[in-house]
Amino acid sequence: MPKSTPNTYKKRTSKKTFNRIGRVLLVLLMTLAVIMITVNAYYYYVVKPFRTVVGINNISDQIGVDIIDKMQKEDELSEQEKQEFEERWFLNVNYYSNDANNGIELQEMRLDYFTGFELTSNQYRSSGMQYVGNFKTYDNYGSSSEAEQYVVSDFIYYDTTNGISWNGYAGKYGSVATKLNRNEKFIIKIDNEPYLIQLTGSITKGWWIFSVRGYFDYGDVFASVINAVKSNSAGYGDYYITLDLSTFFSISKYDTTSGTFVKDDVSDVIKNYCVLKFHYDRNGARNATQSMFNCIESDANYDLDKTIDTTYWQERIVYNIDLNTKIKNVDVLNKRYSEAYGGYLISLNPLAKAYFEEMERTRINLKLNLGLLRANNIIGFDYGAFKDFELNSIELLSVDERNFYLLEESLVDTKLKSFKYNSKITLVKSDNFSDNAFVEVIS
Amino acid sequence: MIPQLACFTFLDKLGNIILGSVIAVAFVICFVIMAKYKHSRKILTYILCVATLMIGLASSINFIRMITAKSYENGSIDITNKFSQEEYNIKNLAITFYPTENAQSFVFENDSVKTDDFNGEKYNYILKINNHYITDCEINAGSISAKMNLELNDSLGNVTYSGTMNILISFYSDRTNLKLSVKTTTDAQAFTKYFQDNTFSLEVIKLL
Repeated sequence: MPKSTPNTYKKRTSKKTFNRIGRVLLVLLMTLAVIMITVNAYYYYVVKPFRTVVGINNISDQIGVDIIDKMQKEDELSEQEKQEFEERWFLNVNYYSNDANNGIELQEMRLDYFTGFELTSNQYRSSGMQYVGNFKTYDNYGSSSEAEQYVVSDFIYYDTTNGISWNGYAGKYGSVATKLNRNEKFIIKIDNEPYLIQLTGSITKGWWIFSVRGYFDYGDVFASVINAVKSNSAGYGDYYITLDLSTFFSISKYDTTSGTFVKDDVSDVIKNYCVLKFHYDRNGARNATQSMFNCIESDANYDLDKTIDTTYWQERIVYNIDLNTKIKNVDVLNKRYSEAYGGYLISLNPLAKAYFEEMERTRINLKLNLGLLRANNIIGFDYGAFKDFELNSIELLSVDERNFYLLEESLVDTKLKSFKYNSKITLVKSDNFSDNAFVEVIS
Repeated sequence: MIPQLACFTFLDKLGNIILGSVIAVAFVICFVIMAKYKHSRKILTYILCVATLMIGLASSINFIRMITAKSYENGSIDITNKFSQEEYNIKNLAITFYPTENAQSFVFENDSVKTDDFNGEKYNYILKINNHYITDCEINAGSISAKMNLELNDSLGNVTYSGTMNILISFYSDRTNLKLSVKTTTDAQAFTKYFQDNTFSLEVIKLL
């Protein structure tokens, strides 16, 4: 038998010690593991059923965070921007029911969301579905993988950015538009933070191996939402309601640390509520502008009425002003009594002039019914009465014979085109009352 | 909805159960065989220990998540202000005129939420459509009637259309009704075209 040296003996002893420590540790860990498994099972099956964790997600407006900043500083947004950006919701519906039988039945649903995590207005995008008629959802049998990619073919789909719509959905494959199917995820805003929303809802019918799962598609969402609009208590009009999307959609929060969207798998009950803005009309749709996509059946020129050519260069809003006209509760015309002329001289109120100049594309006609001389002693235009104010035409009517004085510079820089007056009036013109030629018409 | 075909689902689940059963049986057979021999008994022990440790770790994590989970509420929805409005303010409305029953005129009508406290007898109001103040305007106790005159010019500056639209806004206890009316088909198409190109916004502003 070989002799064991002191070194070999030491090595064998330390090896045995390590082995013993290892076994003890293993036993301890195993015991701990078994305890944790038992505690976990106990908590899950005995304690947890009496303790419900509820997660609630409320989806409110989808206005970009940069627009919200600007809206708080009121003068940073133009009127057009305010109109464009003030209303933006995840779900919008436009429904022309044609109950009045004067057009076509048009049903539309649009989702407003973002294309990036910054949630700014330059990341706005909308996707929607349009149906001409009254859509009824139906079953389309398939496997679970087919269900995830399935797009309901009955609709016309549109994408929209900055109010311009297009339909890039070419068929089952090869689309440049957003496919509204279960695979599609949308970034939305809650509490000014990014969240992800996806159509994931399904129902199970049957039991055990005899059960069947039905996967909701966007046709089901569409039909449910239209039904909600039809059954609203306010009836026709433009209103807002809140929907419970829990059956159809699931929501994940964006974790900035990991850069991923994290699902809520600890809550027992998750509720997702959302504002729906809708327009519900008793009339039928007659032209493409009534569509929220400005297209009906992908035709931006769809119009049941168009019989005349309405092409034009520019419009003018016409104002016919007289002695009683007010703008913003201010008299447009001032009267000044002149001792020298023995009557009232008319001029433009400077405040009214400022208000008119705020408005573009106007055409202003002045019409004065001078009436009886003794009752309404208007005898002319004052010095510089309408100077530097664009007037299209002037019309004077009088029942009495009278002079009407046009004092210096009263019609200078007015670009007046015509001056009409009846034969009872005699115009007395000062030397430099006007600087442009206009047509005088005596009736 | 996309329901799965019942027969395929049944066969799919049955197949999974059969596969699962076969794998379980295979595990049991391997277990029994390994338990017979001393050397393989050791390997089996190590596998069971590792499996138990991993399940224990997963259970611990799950347990901590379950006991620390709290109910939460993200976001808030407050649309109480959308069921009434302080001032009547309509934006981006698609205007289309429909012939009346007797076809004597063409009308666009829209109902929206009620306007709080409109009182034409007590306050002064002004009407603004698309940034134009409407001067031909009559304010009544609970309604506003007004006229808007429009001309359209061609590219040579000639007037190709001239017409008038009547506006009636009625303030009821439960809603606000806007009615726009014109006389002829030409008026209807011209005003529709104008509002298509410039959108439609209307404001009733209370003067303080």
